[in-house]
Amino acid sequence: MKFIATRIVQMVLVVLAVTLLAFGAMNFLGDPLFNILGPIANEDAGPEFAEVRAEARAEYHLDDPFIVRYGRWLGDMATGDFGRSFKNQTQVSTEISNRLPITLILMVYAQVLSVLISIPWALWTASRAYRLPDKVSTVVSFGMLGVPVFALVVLLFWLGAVRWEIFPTRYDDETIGARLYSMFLPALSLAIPLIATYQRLLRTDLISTLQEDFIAVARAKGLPQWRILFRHALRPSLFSMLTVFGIQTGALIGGSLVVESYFGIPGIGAAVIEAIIRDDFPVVLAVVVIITVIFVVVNFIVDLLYSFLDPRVRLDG
Amino acid sequence: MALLEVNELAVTFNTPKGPVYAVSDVSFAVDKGQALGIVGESGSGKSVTVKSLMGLLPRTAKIDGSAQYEDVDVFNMSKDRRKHFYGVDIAMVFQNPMTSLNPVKRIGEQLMEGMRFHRGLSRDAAKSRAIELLDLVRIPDPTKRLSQYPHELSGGMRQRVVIAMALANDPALLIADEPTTALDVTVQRDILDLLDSLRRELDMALILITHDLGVVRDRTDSIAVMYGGRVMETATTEEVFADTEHPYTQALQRAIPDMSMPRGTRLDPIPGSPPDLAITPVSCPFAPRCTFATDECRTSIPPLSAVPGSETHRYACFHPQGLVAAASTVGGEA
Repeated sequence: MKFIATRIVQMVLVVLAVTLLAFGAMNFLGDPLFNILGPIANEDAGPEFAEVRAEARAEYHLDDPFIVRYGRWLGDMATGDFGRSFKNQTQVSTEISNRLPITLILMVYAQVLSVLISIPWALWTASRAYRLPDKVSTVVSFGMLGVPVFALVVLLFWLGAVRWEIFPTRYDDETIGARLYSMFLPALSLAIPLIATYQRLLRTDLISTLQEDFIAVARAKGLPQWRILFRHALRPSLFSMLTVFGIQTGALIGGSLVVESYFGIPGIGAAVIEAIIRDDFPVVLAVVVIITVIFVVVNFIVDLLYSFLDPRVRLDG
Repeated sequence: MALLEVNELAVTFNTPKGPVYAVSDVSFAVDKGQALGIVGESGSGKSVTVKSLMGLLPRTAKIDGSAQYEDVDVFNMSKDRRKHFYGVDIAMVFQNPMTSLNPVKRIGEQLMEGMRFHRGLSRDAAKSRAIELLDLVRIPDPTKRLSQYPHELSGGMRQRVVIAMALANDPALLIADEPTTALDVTVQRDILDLLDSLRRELDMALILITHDLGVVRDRTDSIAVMYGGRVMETATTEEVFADTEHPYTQALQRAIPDMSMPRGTRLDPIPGSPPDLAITPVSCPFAPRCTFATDECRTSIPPLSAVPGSETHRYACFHPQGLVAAASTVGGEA
């Protein structure tokens, strides 16, 4: 319990630090008023805009000290109010709540695909370590790691949607089935480097676990190979993979920016790209905060899972 | 008839540096309900011998010779026979109980999986059998142990769990590979006595591997002394201690500490170190360390010869030191 409490305090501090940095960046890198109003924010634009400028200053509380504005922004966020978009004056929270679930589905989809493919693959190669299938797998997985996401999306889109016409070219959210079906290629392009990463890590850990005495004991018990792999070798070998799973969640958000824009998926990634291009800081800030929270929470869950994987890991350290 | 008969077993490992002759020309037999001790120092091939029988050697190992278990040709089993052979007919206890149990699985689960897989027992039936087994190996409070993890038990307790696991399907033969080497001295004796009494209680054959000739003296029916991957001397336990033929067996005997020796008496270690098994064997492996070695020992491998008048006592030496030598000296003078 003490561990959990400490971790929660740490998580809050991390989130606060990120919000401070992000909010500071919005206020000190360039002029927020210019971002809201565009060229008329400039004093030289003429006295006829003075009233508009004063209005905007008042609405966004730009005359308050930084720390007061930061506090207000945090407070609003805690109540679910991310402020209004600079550009179309809509509530950022509405936009986020429409788009966030789509990105979350995409991320979970990619992770599920990665885990489901990499685990059997790693088991298969580790039990044939240094033999031909393993060597071929090594080459294949390095290939998968080497292809950048932007190339992968183009390749998969061309193969899956254009050439073979197996998958739709557009995102389709009519039904859950249609949604998952049309998200397959995007999720796969996020998953491919992950599959390779997990396969490499898990294979290495499995090879060393398979040298352990308790594996020989399980063999001497006459258990079949698949049972030894799944029931005895897998769980103690999952540590590195689990750690990287948590860290990759961050990379996955970055990847979804590219993938969502390419496949036209109306997720948070696509939103943040538009927002960055238009200097729409409230949207960018909201997305940064949400991404931070997801990342921190996933890694917290990963820490809790260590003790589930190995009962010798105590959480009260 | 013998329960297990091993004939001219040879195990060669193909390594990048060339073949390693880990085991050569090893033959022995274990009768039903009897105990065989395989004795030898590190690198003598004892573990490789039993691992070959258990199918635990890596793919780089080349196995020659034969092993017959009842009507089963151990090295050429059908897939169906093999499915329920290990862990049912032959079971094994390993050297280090600290690493023999899966650290992330509960004791109960590890005890039950073998019976459930081989015998198709229900969860409840397997559970009551697991409790029965823990009781059999004299673990107090067995029901509580089922839900514990290995790290919650001491080394001695863990080895008892490993033994219980091996006994799960009533094997006719139990192989114990140095079962006490990794344990505290005070616990070693308990484990050895436990194995001995279980063998009698369950009418099970036992192969006890050890580097300590003293361990097998009171606990086995016969002994095979191994060195450099070969059998040096084999006989009933009684015969070995009554009449030791091989200089190596003698040297091992001198290395047994004896409580009746006067204080300050030094044990007699065997000088030198075990042979390099990567060299094609052309000589008696013990020759470099043997005080009786002659040119004959260094240029040819002594075959196993029978001690006259015994059907069980054999030795591989050109210069036997026991009754055989005494008899030939008498014969020579006559």
